[in-house]
Amino acid sequence: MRIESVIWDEWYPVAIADDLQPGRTCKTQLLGHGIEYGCDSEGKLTAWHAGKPEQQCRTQTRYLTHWVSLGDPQEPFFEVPEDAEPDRRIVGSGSMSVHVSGLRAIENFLDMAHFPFVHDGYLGAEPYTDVEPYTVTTEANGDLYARDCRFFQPRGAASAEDGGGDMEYVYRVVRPFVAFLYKTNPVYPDRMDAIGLFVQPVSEEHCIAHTVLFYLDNDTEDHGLRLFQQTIFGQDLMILSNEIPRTLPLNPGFEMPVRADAMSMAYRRWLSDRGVNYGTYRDQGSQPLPSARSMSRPAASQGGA
Amino acid sequence: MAVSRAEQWFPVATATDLVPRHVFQGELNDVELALWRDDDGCVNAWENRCMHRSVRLSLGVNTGRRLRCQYHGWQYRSGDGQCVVVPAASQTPPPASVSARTFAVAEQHGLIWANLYEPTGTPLNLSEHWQIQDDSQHPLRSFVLHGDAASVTDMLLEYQHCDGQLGASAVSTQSTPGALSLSWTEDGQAQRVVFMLQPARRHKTIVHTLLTVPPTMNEQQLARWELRHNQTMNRLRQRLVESGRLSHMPVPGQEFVPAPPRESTSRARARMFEARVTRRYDAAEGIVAFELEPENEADVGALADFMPGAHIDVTTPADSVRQYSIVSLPGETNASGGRNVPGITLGVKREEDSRGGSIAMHDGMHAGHRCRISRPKNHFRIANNRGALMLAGGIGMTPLVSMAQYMQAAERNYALHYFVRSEAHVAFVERLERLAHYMPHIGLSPQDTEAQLKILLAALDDNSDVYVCGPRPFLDAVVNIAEQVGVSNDRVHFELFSNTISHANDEAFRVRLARSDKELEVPANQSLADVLIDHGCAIETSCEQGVCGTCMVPVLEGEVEHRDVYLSADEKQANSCMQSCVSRAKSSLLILDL
Repeated sequence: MRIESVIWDEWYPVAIADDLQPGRTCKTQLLGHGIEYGCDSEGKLTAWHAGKPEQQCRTQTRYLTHWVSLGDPQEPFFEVPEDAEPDRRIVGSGSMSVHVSGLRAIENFLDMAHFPFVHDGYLGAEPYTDVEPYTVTTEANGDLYARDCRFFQPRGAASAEDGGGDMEYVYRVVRPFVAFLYKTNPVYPDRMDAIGLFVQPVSEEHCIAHTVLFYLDNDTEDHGLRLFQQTIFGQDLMILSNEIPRTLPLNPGFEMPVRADAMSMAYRRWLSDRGVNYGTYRDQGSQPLPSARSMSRPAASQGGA
Repeated sequence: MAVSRAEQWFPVATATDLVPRHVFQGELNDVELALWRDDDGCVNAWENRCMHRSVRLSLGVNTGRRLRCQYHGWQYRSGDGQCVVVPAASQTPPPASVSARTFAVAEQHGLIWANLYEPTGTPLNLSEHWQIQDDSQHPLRSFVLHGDAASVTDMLLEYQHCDGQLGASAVSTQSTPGALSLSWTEDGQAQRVVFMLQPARRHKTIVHTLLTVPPTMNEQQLARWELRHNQTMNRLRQRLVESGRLSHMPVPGQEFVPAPPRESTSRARARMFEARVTRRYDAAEGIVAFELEPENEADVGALADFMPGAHIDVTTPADSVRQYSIVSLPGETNASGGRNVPGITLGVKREEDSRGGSIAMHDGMHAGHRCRISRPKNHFRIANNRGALMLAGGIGMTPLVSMAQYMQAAERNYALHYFVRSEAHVAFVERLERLAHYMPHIGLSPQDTEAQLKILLAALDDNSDVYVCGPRPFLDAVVNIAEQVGVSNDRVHFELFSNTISHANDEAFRVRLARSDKELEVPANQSLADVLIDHGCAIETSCEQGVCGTCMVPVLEGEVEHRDVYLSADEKQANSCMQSCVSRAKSSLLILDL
């Protein structure tokens, strides 16, 4: 299968920088291709096609993450303004392998409605299950945002005191396999903690989710932050690995959205508009998502009926 | 192929696999199934996939009447598979199009049977087919063989050679598609085993076995037979694997295969079924109560599950269809039915100046009368996390009584205020008397009613919402007073007692179809999509909430009032298309490119 350029010519995470021991060679897979990688004592990453050290891949290290590309990325690397804020702690919170398309992992990350059922007692609790309307927009640079998201959370962060409260969320999708979540920080009312979900598409149906925290929390130790995030992700694992098909359907009608899924639907459209095929479910009767562009007013010759 | 689709009945589990409150994962012809039994014993065979995000339903919870998905808590009811609760929008009824993919299912010979293609027909019946008495059958252990069903059938002919006691006895075989019977005489007794094959996957067949048990066989002999069957099947499998005819491991195949397409998507929506009036009595002056239950065994659970506040469609003796709210609680059984089958109670007020539905009900529906009704529908429902101030005017009490009983049972905060003309007009007294927070307001003038409503609404606590049902003037009074005392309108939930869906802010508009040169009226209470479909336009709908984009139609002229969340702000601004399920018109006329 030929992989479309929008996926092939792109950067993908292979490891959290802190987790990679210098001098050691690791094996992994990216877009179905075996690769090997390692870093030197300076932390400089090199990667090559498995068993073929002469076939080097492009690499770079950013946002505490080692990135590899099998192709030739054209777009500049996405920006994370929080990375430059000196008082933020940047903590890797682990890499989790999941038997599901990375696109489904991102979609799950963008979803609030599952909190009371999958993260009961942490990110949600019955009977507070209603998702209030929120705003979805695509920015000029192509980033997809969901703003004004609010949800009642009994324990929304490692640092959250007892009692819980309404958390505010902002979601941002920057690449098909990269998304950010910004959430209320209990200490700074005007700033938000950020979580980056960097997904490595191992194959169409497998992924490794690397999570990096850009946090303002100064009280909780790294260990505590990691433990919290991994607890949450562990709860998602069971659900994600039981989605069949494992790939993400983009045609409407195969799965049924409700209003709370506005962000998920926008993400699917966003992927569809970019021509993303890899990691999507393509059944026989598959139709692309309806596009407003295809419904633009007909030319004058056809109009005026 | 000799076998018609209607005959594609196969076993998918043994009856004992489906224990109470469990969801069993099965498979048939590569399609994964969620099999579960409700508290009435009715079996459901559904595609093992939540319609929302395709999470396996077998991961979910069998709550007795519904199957709840583990991901977002969506609840699908037993029987028709209709989704009745979407917790992310607890007060919005899920669209009628959201239902689990259900298959025809039957229980026979100690096995559960399903048909993926047709809702009709019956499974293989041994007593008809081979004159085997059903009550003499005993299911033996089921075995998985990693081969296709046709070759497994051939392989089972060697069962005899693997059975230590049978040896070279004369065994006669009979076969029919999907089943094989071996019979012989042993110790002077006729013996028979019947294999029924479940084509689980292309290279995976599950062999279910029934033993014909002679009347004289005792428990010990039966236990010996179970052991003998185990040993025989294990020997057979070993023999087949060793000779290379069968894989000892699962053969990899396509992991996900979608269920075959439905014959008709609108079937579930239109389905009415036959019910019987088990009792009728006067509930108050001018109000008759009807106790109903499903007439046929196949529909036994059809009235078991709904959200309090639900209504049903009833075909009246005058052959009109009317909506009536349910007074009773889900799961109630009507003593009058004598069958211990879940039923419902309706309250119908005689409306002399109405179009005749209630008069026909009063004059023509007697105990024993049969009528066609829909399954319960829920347009009026309680928020799942807040208290409720319930304001009932006259016959509008019917859905609120059901809600109040539910709130009391759930130990949640509620109060029911019943505004009624006289003592004699108070309906369902026996239900009201059991409510701890019930207050009647009898014979108040319109002014006194308004004054009382003002007191109640002004005292509303922040954690409660208002639920109103009653005649139009009563409803308007509540809405106005709520606004005056500062209760925001999103906290006032209402239903006109005629049970029409509220489209309070909608106005009628016209659409012209440019290509077909037709002009249609879209009434206030109907969506554009429904009007277009009624007039033969090939519009597909899916979510019916303006989320999925399926029902998009191109707009040439006129100003659209966009109510969807599918289109971006720019696309809405461009005004070149609209989601016909929810969006309406700001201008009086829209011209569509249809």
